[in-house]
Amino acid sequence: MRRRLTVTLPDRAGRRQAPRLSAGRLAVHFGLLLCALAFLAPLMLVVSASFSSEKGISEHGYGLLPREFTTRAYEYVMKDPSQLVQAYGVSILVTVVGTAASMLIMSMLAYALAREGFFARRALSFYVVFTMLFSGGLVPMYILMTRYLHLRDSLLALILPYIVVPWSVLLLRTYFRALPSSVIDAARMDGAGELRIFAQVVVPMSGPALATIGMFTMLTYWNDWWQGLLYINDDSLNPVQLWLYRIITNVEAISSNPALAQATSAPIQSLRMAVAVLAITPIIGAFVFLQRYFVRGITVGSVRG
Amino acid sequence: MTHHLSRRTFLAGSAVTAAGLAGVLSACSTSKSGGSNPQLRYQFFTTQALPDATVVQEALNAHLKKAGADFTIKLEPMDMDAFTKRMPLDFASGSAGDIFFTASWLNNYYTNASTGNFLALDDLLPKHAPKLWASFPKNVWDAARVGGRIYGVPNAQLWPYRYGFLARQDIAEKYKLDLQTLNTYEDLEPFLAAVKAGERGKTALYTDNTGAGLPWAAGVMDFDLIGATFGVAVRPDDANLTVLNMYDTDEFRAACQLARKWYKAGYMATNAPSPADAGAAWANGQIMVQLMQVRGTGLPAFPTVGKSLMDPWLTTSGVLGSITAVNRDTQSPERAVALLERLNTDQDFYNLICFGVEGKHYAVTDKSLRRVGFPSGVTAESDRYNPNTDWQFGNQFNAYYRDEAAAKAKLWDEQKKLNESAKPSAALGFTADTDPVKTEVANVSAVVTEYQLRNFSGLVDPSTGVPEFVDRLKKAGIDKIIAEFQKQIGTWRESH
Repeated sequence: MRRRLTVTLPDRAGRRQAPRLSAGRLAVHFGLLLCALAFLAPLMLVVSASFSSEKGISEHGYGLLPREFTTRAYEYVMKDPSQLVQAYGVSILVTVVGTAASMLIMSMLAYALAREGFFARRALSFYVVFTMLFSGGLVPMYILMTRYLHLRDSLLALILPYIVVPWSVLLLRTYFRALPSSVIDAARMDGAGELRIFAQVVVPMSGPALATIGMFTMLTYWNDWWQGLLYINDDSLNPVQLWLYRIITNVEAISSNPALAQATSAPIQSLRMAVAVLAITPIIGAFVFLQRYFVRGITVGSVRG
Repeated sequence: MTHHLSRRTFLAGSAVTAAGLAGVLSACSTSKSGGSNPQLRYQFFTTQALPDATVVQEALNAHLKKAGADFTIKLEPMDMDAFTKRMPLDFASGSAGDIFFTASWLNNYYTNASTGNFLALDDLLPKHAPKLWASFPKNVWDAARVGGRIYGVPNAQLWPYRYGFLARQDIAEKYKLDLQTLNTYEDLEPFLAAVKAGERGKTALYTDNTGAGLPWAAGVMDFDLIGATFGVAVRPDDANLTVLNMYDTDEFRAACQLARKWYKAGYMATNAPSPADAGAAWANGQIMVQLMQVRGTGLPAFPTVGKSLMDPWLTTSGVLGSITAVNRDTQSPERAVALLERLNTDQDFYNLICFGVEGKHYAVTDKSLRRVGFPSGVTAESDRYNPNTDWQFGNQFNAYYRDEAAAKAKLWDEQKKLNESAKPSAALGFTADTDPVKTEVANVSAVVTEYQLRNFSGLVDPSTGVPEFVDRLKKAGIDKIIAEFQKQIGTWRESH
């Protein structure tokens, strides 16, 4: 069952024939170019500031090109490169395992909720929606995680809290529900069991929805430092965002508190930017790679096949 | 059709798996705090990653074993941010350590003591920490009392506030700053004017968007703050202990006028930056003068001159600047107090926790001066154990010196003398109970947050701004707080 786009696309053949450079088209392109620059400029500022010297920033402010080029901020962050590598490793592991587990569980849950005949559908739906509106709060969560599940200093503490996101489950459920039931019936007629229907019929038909939710889930895991702040003491289990966050908060605490002053001064202004660059680089890479799914996923529902 | 799951089973199964996975995936760990050789957990804050904390912990335990102690220690450093966020959760969930850092400004001592998170140490200290108990005069122990009981051990350091100013040495010499004739913040003005005129593109005076570095931020310390966040104080030399509204005093009005004048003259940045940015500019030499404490420690990397412009008073909030407290639920209260004794009186043990292992984390640079530095090839940044908060762990006067000037001047002896010669504030040992006036405290604090900064940073004209501020404070009920505290302080004095 192939899905096919039925929205009208620009006529490729026609465009190749005559690259009309009308004034209107130029204006549109110019506008878009400005837009693109407006999006790119802040990123450029961040990158350039991360390569500027502290003195340069203090005296001249930020610029699109580095002030007094230096790699001091990166040297400060990577004074022990093994820590950065370790932190990236933790983040990648947590993101990959977390996203995979989360997608498996959420899609199965959503599929069960989408099926009309499922006996616990109402009760489970209520359970999912309920947690969307009400939460136990931070303290009970902390007690559960540390006293009952004993997840302090465990990678599971970084994975479990985000493993089921009710909003994503509901989105997937809506998508699954919209799948033509005739396909599922046909599969059953052909002798497929529930597991096979789910894995070989429903999942392949739900690429865009799964990719969208997968992207969100991945970003959630990649960007999180809060769970680590609460549950991770062991430095070797720091995800990269937490590790970078700690560098920044520590340097800020030192530079804003004379009692903690060090004889050396960390390059706080460029350091912030270097940390931002290090934090977003991998996920930008992933975004470029997954963009086409993402764009298609956003338009889920507007495209029918 | 027998080899696959039925629909019902699968749907239920997947749902149950999804909902219940969290329960299955759990590991087990046992807590060990009681027993014959219990491990005592020590939670403290750090502003540096301490990858070698476990190495130091082993050394500490080896030292304890040799000394015949019947307990071991487990170091649990947390970044300041994590410490702030996690300690309340640890208390609420009953997973706090055996001893921990607390202070008037972090992991709030007073709140934790009055809500019952800390163990009262009155009976334990004389028995299990005799040397420590004997090392402080009665009024210092009194300063640590909450509701009449001692809930923590103040760490000995320079207790009186020493607000004044610090100026870059080269600038002070260039513009001929005369420290001898300088006794008030007003006296700084000609110097600031000369710096402003002569150093184009630089900022003469430090300030940030929290208001630090302004005349009032320093001048406020001339009061004994019994309610720092809501403007209620007594004068430390007032034998009558009159509780007053700090914002309705001549000192406050004068500090605001001075700030206004300085602001208009352009001595400080017009848009006050964040503390981190201002701190960075100060460290980069972009700011010439900063009003701050002059204690002889925590100095910037460049040479400075400075002077304290206030009398040394021994106040409750000064003494409560760094405290170690014991968990009320600890399994071994006696041993926890014995650990406090060791941190405060066993120099080798204390320096081990402050500096790490000799040769690895620090090296003795001058034995007779007790001065230490980094081992060769190690810097402040690459050191794997360099908490740099000696005052957090125990008696700072037992610490090695980090700074050559401090070592040569025997700074600890100087500070010890200053502690002894500082006059105790009339209200030393009094801590106000805000519970009866909770609503007013919340309202007044909100007004303070809204009006204080713009007045004392010179953003508004104080001749109209301050009366408006005082009026709002009265409407928010500051007089009720004053009356309540006056009553409490009277009762407190009688019981003394």
